[in-house]
Amino acid sequence: MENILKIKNLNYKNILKDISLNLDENSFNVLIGPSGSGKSTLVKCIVGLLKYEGFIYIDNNLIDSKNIYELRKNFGIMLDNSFLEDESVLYNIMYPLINLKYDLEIARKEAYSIASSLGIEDLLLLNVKDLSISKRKLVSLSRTLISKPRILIIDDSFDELDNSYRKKIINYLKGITSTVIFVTNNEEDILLSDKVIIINDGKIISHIDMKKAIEDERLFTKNNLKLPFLVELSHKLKDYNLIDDVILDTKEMVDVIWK
Amino acid sequence: MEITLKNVYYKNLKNLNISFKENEITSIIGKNGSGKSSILNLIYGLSFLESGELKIGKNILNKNTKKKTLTNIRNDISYLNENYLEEILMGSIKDNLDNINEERLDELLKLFFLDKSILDKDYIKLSNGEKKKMLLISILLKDKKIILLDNPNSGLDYRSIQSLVKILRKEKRNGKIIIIVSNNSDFLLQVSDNVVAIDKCKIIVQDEKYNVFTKRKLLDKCFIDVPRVLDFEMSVKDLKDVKLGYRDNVNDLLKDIYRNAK
Repeated sequence: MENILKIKNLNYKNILKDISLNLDENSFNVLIGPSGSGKSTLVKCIVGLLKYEGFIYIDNNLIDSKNIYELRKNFGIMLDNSFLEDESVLYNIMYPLINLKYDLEIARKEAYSIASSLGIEDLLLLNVKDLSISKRKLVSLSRTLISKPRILIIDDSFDELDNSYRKKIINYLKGITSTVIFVTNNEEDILLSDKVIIINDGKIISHIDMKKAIEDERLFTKNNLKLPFLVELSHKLKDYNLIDDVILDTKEMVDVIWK
Repeated sequence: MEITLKNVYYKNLKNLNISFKENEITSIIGKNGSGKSSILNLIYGLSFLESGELKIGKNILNKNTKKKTLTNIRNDISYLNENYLEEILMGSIKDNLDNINEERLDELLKLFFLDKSILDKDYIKLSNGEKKKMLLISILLKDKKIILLDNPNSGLDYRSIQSLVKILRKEKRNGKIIIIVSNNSDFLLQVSDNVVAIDKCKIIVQDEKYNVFTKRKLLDKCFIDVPRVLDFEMSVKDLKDVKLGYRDNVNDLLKDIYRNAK
């Protein structure tokens, strides 16, 4: 399998230090690291918002000043405080497709479809200025998703959303065929991923399969990261010899402890 | 000192009767749009209530209250709400933090794992987490009697949230009234004393935290997860009829499991 995205020796000021990373196509990667470790800076470099030193390849094509405009079309990125037009939700979501000269009817259908998947179809005719920050994030996300980017990068906290919205978003993201980089501080999100990227102090500490990552308790504690609840509990119960392996299901764990 | 709402109608909120006491941290839970943030807006005086009475200490506020009174009351209140605070912290952070307790500032920087050099930076250049922490620090430094926090945990990493819990629980013992709106039940379980639950713009419960966070159906209505530690404990009770007691963190849970395991 080809790596859809390859990063080699990426440096940015004194924030990112010699970063190398290879992403498999259609993989779901969570990017985690303590605050200030360089997560947002890294994703901004990847999509060309910051001028980095180093090499980034998409499908083995090195991004340079000549092809960046074309290659950038592979990306969809959602950052915090994304700017929304002073228009309806529907217009904002449709905007990328209008920009790509889609037929208006088709653009509208796509917008409705995405809004429905994220549970915001009742907001479509409202002006974005009348929405709360949480709802605006969902609009912003819809707008990012509508062009079906091959590489989707999400760097915005959804912490303020209630669990029904959060679940809708995560389920949607898991279902699409895109290569995803999902930046998060929520340790439970780790369990959704194929691979975990751990960054600390501007360096990539690890990029491994999720199942391997959660077996290594020290990897997380050393980097001031929290493990998902059941994983943390598993490791602690293993230390007490109450269980033998990491268990991800509550019922299963209870059955093992109280055979 | 107490904050009391009596038969308050405000925006979509109907017939609210709640009280918030000093030396206590009360959280408000409810699905997005249920009106929980509106309660904070009301207490901060962002607009007038339609009917009923809001009592803040000795001040009684109703729809006829003069703007001047609201402004005076606001001197005792700190409000963390990203809609309003960001403008205040634009520019160099140092400029915004005049007249402050240096020692306390150093303490807070340390608790939030920030280096003192951050004070010389522009707010805009900070990472998301750093921005949030600086907003929290500036609020805490103001040392007001009433602290209103809307999603203080969002954007923070794990160890900063733990620090926040520690800091707030210490603050409340200094006689503060602290009210928090959040959807993170693990955080709220650790930080709160009492919880108010809002559904369809009405209060459905106001009770001590363990009485609220152990009610699955109620939490479901508020679109908030059961705190993971409690979820585990309740599962153990349901599946094996073993009572572990209610804890708010993994380490205490672990001790209970060890004591009760076969």
